[in-house]
Amino acid sequence: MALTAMDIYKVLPQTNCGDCGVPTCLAFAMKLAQGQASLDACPHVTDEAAQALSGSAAPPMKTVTIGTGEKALEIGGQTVLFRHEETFYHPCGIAIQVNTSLPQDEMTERIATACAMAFDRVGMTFGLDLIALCDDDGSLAQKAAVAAEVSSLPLVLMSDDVAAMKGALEVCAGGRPLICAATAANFEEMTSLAKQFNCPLVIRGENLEQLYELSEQAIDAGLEDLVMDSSARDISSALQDQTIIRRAAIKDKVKAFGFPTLGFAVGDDEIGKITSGCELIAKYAGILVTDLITRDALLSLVTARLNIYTDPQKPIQVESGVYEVGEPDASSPVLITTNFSLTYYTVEADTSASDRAAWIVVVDTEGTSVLTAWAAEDFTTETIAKTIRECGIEDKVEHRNAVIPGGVAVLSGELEEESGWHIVVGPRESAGIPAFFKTKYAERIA
Amino acid sequence: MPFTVPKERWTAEVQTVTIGATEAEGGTRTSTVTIGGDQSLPFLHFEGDTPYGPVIAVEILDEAPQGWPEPLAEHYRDVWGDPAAWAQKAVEEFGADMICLRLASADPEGTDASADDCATTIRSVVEAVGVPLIIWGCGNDDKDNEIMPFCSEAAARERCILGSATEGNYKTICASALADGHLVINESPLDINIQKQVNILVTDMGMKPEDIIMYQVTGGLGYGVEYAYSILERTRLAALGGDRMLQMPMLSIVGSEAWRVKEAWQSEDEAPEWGPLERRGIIWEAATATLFLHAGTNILVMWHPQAVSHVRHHVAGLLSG
Amino acid sequence: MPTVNITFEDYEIVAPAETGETILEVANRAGVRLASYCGGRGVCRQCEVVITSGAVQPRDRAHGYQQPGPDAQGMSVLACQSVVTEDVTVQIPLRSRAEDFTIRDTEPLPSGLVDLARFLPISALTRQFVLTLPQPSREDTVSDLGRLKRGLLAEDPEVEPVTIELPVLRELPLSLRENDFKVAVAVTDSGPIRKISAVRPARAGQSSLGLAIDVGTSNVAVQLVDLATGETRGGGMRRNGQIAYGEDVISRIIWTQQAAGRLDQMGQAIRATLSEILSYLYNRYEVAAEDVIAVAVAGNATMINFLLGIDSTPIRRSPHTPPASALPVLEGGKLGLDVHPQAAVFCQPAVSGFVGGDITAGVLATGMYESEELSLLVDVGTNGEIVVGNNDWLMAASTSAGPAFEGVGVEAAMPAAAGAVTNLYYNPDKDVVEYETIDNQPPRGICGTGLVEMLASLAATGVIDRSGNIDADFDSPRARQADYEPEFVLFWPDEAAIAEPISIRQHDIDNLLRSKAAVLAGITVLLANLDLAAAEIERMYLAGAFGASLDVDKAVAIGLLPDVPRQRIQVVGNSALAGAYLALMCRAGRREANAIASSITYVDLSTDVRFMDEFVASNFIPHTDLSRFPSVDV
Repeated sequence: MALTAMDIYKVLPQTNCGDCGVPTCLAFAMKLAQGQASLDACPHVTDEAAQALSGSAAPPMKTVTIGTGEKALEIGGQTVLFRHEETFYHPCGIAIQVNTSLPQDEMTERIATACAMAFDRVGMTFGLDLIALCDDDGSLAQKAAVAAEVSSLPLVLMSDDVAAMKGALEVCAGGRPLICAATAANFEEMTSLAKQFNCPLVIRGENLEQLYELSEQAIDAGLEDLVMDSSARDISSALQDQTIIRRAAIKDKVKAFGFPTLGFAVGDDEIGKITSGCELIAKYAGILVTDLITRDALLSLVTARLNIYTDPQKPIQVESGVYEVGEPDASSPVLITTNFSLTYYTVEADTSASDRAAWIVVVDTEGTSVLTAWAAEDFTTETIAKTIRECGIEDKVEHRNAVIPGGVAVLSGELEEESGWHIVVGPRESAGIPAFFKTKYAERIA
Repeated sequence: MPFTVPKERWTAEVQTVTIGATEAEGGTRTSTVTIGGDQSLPFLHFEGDTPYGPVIAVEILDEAPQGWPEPLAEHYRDVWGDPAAWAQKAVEEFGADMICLRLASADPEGTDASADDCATTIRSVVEAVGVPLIIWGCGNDDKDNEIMPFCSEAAARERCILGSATEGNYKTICASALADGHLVINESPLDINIQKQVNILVTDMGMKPEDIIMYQVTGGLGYGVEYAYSILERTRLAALGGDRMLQMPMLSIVGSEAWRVKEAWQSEDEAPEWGPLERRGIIWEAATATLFLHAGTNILVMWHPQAVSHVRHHVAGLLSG
Repeated sequence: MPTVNITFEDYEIVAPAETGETILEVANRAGVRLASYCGGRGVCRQCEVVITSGAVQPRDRAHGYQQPGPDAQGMSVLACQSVVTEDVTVQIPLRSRAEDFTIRDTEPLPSGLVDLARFLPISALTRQFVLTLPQPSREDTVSDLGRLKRGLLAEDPEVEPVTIELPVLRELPLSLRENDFKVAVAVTDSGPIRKISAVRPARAGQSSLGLAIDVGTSNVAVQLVDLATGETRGGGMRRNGQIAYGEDVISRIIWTQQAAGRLDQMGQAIRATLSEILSYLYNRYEVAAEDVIAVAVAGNATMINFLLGIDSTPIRRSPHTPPASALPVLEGGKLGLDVHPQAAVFCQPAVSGFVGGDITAGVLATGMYESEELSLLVDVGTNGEIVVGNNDWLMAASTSAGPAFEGVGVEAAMPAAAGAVTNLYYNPDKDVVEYETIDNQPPRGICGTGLVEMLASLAATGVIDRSGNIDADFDSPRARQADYEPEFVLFWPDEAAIAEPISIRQHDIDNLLRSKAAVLAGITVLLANLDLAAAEIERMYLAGAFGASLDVDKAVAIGLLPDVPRQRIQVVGNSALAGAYLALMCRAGRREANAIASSITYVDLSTDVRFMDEFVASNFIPHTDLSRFPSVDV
């Protein structure tokens, strides 16, 4: 169990000297408990206290790095079972499976396609992460060099054959590929390869019990960068095993399971593989291996991953911009609100209840409500006027009347000057919108 | 040291709810649907039973839809405008466990159909299919309060689900449900606490927990799924942890949410980087549904027949084993 | 300019005006107080008046001006946007009348909180010594100052080290000689050294007086104290005049940012408010401003800034730091207070921008920082501030509760003055509202205590549901649809002291629920920071907007306070004023206040992700998690 702020406070000097940069010892203890500060910041802490506090710091799951350089992939390092508790770190790596039996030009084309695949979303570009070179014809050692040459992404070398793996590593170990996998049958050899070439290693047990034993042995052998595979190859057992491994690592601090996992998207057809992939993304896979290669399929997986790995502690936001309620036209009213989703959806629902089509202009206030944003200067004449100018509403309506929430009525004068729009003060509460439209709106517009 | 499987000791389970009433129960349904009873997080068989898996309701409209993308429209064009035929097709050809009838025509901004018209539609759908029904208003509070008593009465004693009760507008729909023996959907805007508030208000009205379904307004994949996912997950955790006011089964709207997203309908010419259009909507709907399943939903309201069949297959895979 | 007349018919006042003046300007001059929160810019729309005869014109660049349309009663216009060009008669609807700025007596200081025995020996901020000094002579050639010090040390050796400042020293020789070396010497405790702050003629029966002041965002309260004995002569309070520039601190900060000179204006407003209260007290208790030689002020950081003329912009911006925690002892004259010019002014030190000296004062007064018991202080004012802790640690947070329980923003509310409803119970069987009012006057409005009882009663009888929705179909003519929302009539005109029914509307209920939710959520989340639950609180002090008559059962029933055994809850009234009093009277009190302020850990709830969750869960009667309210029957 992690230490609470109060536990930590008890061993601190309790002098409130502020030398750590935080005004009080209790505040410092709270930061330590949340992992937002390091004990080193306190120059007065005693050795015993430092000792007492050090034990609680070890992370429950190892972060494992595959590859080198810019495209290196970090996986694992999770601290929670449910994303609402904190967030999921290190998004699940998507590995595109490429079989060695493919004709060489097909193989290289497939690798190149996967490496080039990218999707733009929320102002960022998201791509794939790994090439899983699957040895289905015993030619891994020969193909590895080509694959490493063509691929800008790190490799997963998939073979149970020690000689093949050794051959492959000899040509591409410098790129720090993931060795997949050590099993009960090849354990000694594979673990020594991992050591020799200093590469991360997948441990595959036939079931959880065997995986646990092999992992313990690997730890004993001094390996640190491990990835877990329980051999689950159907969606139901994958869900059970992934959950058990994550739960054992996080809740029970089981060291042998304190590593990221590997999962395979399985299914009779492509959409079946997509739903399997979505499951693994949601339920704990550190790496998702798939042979899907079409854009429509991978778009859905990349999007699902983005969603699941979004920090849920950030306030729920809608994107800034213009939204429609009903089918508004050039004469429909324009309402201004913030991008806190609860605020937006309340305004949307109340507007929609008013029997009136309207435009809602959403200002980016970092997900805060109207009054909070106003207090924090995120919902000001400047930010509102800027949004009005840039969101495109000026092309959508012929009039220039904008309704602002009654709570920020004080902004109206300056906003009129800043935006050039006539500002209509709306009701304080969104619930007043229907009544407002029935009566006051018509009186107040220019 | 041998490994022991870490099992949670939950103190409670999801409320078991049966929808639809057969002749023996005073209705005319030929089949009923039972959901809930889950004793663990979704599909964790090592931990607890999932006595009734999630079910799929196919959503139909009471008038021809506007602007549906072709990959979707092609399956329904022959029946839209005739809700009874649409419902029949959804059940017989696409295997819907339930029909979710949305009274879009009642919208005062649109057709503005009368309460009588809506009640007539309901009677025709009740007659046309034997599966249980979800009856959802047009979304305009005043109008829904006007039509819902008639719609409810038109399906009296069929044990339908009426949608939806919100924090600010729940009395009329609850009164109807209580009078005619229906269940009610409690809706909230992506907020577990508001969900709980509606549940309390509705039970204060006399609705029993086994007559309530929870629904969080959500979004499709890429557009809000991340929030809905965690709220459903938290709700399931609260239910298992013994919070009686969050133990009702959950419903998720998948079809309309997924198809509203531009990834589902924008043509390849407009968005070449997204790949061919034909499958995108289906993929989007199936992927959205999958995430909701793993977050703990019990009823999926869906649109596209192929998405329905893929999701049904996924559920079957999760329930086996 | 030609002159016209404006007749304010409700007040029977005829005010002359120049053409081109706005109705609001004329009304202000004539003492007719109109509600206005936007400084006359036409945005708050509070100052709507009805023109019953004559006509008005929109002012230049009028904003939000409504073209007056004839209706049954006349024409509705905004007073601030309408200028007069001819004689007009104006009616002022109740909703447009300003806050009641009349001065009322304060309740006595809460006796449990002002025990001077905790800080013996008593040592006021400024002590007055009446000395008869030996005249200088050939044998005794000690300097004037040395003579004065010798006299002081003979009275109290602890006065050392003591110094004097130039203005006082300049007057010293004359002052001593003019008064035959019989003088009253004021010695101020300004920290480690004392300061001779005034030397005046010794008069028979001369008193030394001090003020304890609580500058609240909505209300300002002053106690007049005899510094020699600690006895209080009396107290007065009224609404803070700054309310015209905004209901809460953020609005006021923004208002000051909008134009040059406004910071001064804001300072003037609080000085004017204090000045009115002081002249009331001086008249009533027959004292001279000259005799007031010490002042202790408690207030939130923004209120203190405004009083001192310090810009508060940094308080508005994250991380909300105040300009200073402990302030030096200042001089009354320099702050423009109607007291002796050299009167010492001690400001209670602030913890943070949003946990101010009023809270430090409350902690001092309750003594929670000395107790082993886990104690909680909740001060419900315009902000809800919360302190939790014991003799080992203290932690505080602020939550923007809003001024609803102080009666701002709730139409039927009023301050705790004559005619204010304090207890209220709705009996649905007889369809009557049973009530008690202050001074047994007919009801004029409802004060904070009454608002809590009202919520509890309306919820218990089903007039409102647990979400606060008024049931417009409730079986009583009192429940009805008002203009745009449902309302519940509490008092019909025949019961009330005013001609219109007193009713509570949906948005009033919503405001009150949000206020209480912010307080409860603040408590819950603050405790959660240290993995504590409300049930672990051994003592809870409720300070602020509520009077001693508050039924704590009702406060728990609506979920304003967490459900703890009632005997643990103590309603302490104005703990800020009590703390100011202690600091005024006791050196140890002032020292402790500074120590408390620097030991409190401030927690910023606005960055705590749990807060919004808890707030929504608490925006319900009493809470969505009933297991936390086992004693509440719903």
